[in-house]
Amino acid sequence: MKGGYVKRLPLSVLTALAVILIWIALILFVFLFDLPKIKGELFEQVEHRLRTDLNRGQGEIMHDLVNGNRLAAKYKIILIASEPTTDLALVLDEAFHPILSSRTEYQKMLPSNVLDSVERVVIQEAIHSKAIVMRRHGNFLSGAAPIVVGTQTGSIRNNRLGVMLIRTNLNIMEKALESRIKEHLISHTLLIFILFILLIGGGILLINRPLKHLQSQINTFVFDGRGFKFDHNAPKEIVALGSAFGLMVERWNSAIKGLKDEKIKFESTFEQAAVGIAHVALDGSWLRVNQKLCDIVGYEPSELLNIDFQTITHPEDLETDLEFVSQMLYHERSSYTMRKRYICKNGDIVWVQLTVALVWNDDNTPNFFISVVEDVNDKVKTEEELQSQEQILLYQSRMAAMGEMIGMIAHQWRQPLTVIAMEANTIILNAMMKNITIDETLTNAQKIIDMTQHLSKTIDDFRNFFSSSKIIESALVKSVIENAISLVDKSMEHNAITITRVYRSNPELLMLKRELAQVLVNILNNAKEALIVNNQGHREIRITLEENSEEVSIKIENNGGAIADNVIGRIFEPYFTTKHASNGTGLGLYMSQIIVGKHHGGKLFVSNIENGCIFSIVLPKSKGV
Amino acid sequence: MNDINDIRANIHHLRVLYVEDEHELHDSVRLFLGKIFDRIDDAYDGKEGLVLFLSDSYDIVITDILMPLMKGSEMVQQMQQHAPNVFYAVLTGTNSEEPIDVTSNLILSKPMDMEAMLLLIEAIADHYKGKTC
Repeated sequence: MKGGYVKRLPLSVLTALAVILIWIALILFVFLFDLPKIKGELFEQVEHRLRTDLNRGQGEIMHDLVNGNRLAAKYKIILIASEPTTDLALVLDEAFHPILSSRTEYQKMLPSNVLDSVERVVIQEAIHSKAIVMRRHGNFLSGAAPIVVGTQTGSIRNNRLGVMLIRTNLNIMEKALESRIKEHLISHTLLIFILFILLIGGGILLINRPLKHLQSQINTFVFDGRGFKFDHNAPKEIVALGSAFGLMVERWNSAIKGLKDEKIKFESTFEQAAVGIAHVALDGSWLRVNQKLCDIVGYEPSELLNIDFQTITHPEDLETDLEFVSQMLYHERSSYTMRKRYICKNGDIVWVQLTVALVWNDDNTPNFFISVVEDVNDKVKTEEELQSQEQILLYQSRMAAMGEMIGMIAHQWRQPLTVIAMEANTIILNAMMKNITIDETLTNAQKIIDMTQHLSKTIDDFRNFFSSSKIIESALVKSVIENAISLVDKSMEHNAITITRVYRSNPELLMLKRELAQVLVNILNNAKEALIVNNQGHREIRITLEENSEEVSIKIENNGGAIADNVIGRIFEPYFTTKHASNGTGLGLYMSQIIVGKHHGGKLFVSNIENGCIFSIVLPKSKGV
Repeated sequence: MNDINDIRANIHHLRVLYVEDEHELHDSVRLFLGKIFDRIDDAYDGKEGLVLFLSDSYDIVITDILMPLMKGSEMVQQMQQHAPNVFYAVLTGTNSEEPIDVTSNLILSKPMDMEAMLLLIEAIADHYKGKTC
């Protein structure tokens, strides 16, 4: 409450100042508005009097002069001039000869010595216009009124036109005005002084007492959340003022408490958040950081606040980050989220998910950034592991497929190689038996050459199949099927397996050709294995290709027996195999499903039919790879 | 090594059954065998070979193993039950694909070089030494 008093002292000074200001304003008012107004009023009064005098003089003096009552006229002139403001009153004839004068010393003087130029003009105008003319010159206001002057030469009376002039001295008016102003100022000052005293006194009485009263009340006040209690003997106004004041304090306190609560809430949110939160200045320096952020990057808060975010951002991520920042500054986006790396104090790299928003000032200038930093290091590591696992699987399946393929190559090659060897053997045998003929030898040689061509073509097929280039290309599904069959047909023939093709349409699709061929070869080989084991009769693989408006489907059906119930649900699992360990890796169908599903957006599924099973590959036309 | 023509003189009259499903290879091998032997019968599958063998009499059976309807090994097993003294030679293209489950006089791996073919001829000659007709 002491502080309250200290703050109230300038208030009284202010009151005094205000009073002085009011005084000055009043004086200014007097000089600027009141005085000219009074002046104008006074001038009007003077003018009015002059006009009245001229009118009266014109009437009465003319009457006296025409009737030859010169003395009465003179008396009237003197009477007119007796006014304190009237300087001079004259009656002149046409030739400016004074006939009557308020001052006897002017009687014998030439008018040129008595009248100034303006007064002479006024007189002439009055005679000409036969009306009253008034004009101000310097500190004088002079007016002239035409008058008939009766003159008597002997007994003959002549009536001639003359003029009456009255000169008013405005100086006298000014003097009167000055005294009026003095009166004014004195009265105003007095009035203001009294008002001041009254105000101060009244103020002290009216404000200080209740304030002291309130103060004493406040000193005994204990906040119980319900408000103030006042002495109810106090005047009604004070009680009202007091309770209003109390209400104000109460609201003020609750507002402050609310703000404090909010501040505590905000601070605990900031500090105890499970994610890193920071305020970052426009230049990138950390303005405020929470503990979690410090934990993520391994810096002390004080250390972080001395550097900027650029310092701890991985160089490869900085450009992207700054690009986003500039987009926000240019209003192109309101926030951004990115994955980036920070370099920890100990040099480790940590992956985070960063979300940044920009806080704007009221004048639409950028203020600071709010950054939310989430530690996604483990997540990224897991993803990397999964990815590398998938790559290992892909590699393994490729190796397995390659192993199978080498088996197929061996199969494809053994017969032609044997033919070549046998042709050569025949030549040698002929030589040994000394029974060699040119014709027969040429036939043998041609056979050998044919076989090498065949081998060369076979190895090209396999090499194409194995090139790992992942070209997405448009290709006829039929040609891919034929390509896959060409790789396995020898071993199919060997195992008395008939491949029947049913091409109901000839669709073209965007695809990874070799991957799809790998899937087909895989399914065909599985079918072959099943047929060899389970079918000693007519072995058949039936490939059906059809399409509708949305999809292309390839069905590969075999009569090698149904897949056992405990197996059919697991055949797409990695490392699941029914084959002997040396024959299968258990990756073929798993990878096939990844190729069809992930790489082509399609579906690979199996169903049992009577005496066999059917693998279906469904590829969407629109989505593709 | 004796002169090949001398050996031929001793064995050319022997009757040969050659079983091989692969036609091109069959032709090549048969061309070679035809230089030595006068009478060669051809079969293109184990079953066909067995039927021929049971309906006639042969001195030598040369067969492939992997064939569509009946494997060479199975065919030889059945032939051996009827004629154990016939010379059986197996030409195999399978090193590890399938164990050779047959006892035969000679097993040759494809592709056969000249040494292997001479070995076959000499083995036949040895088998029938002194049994000239």
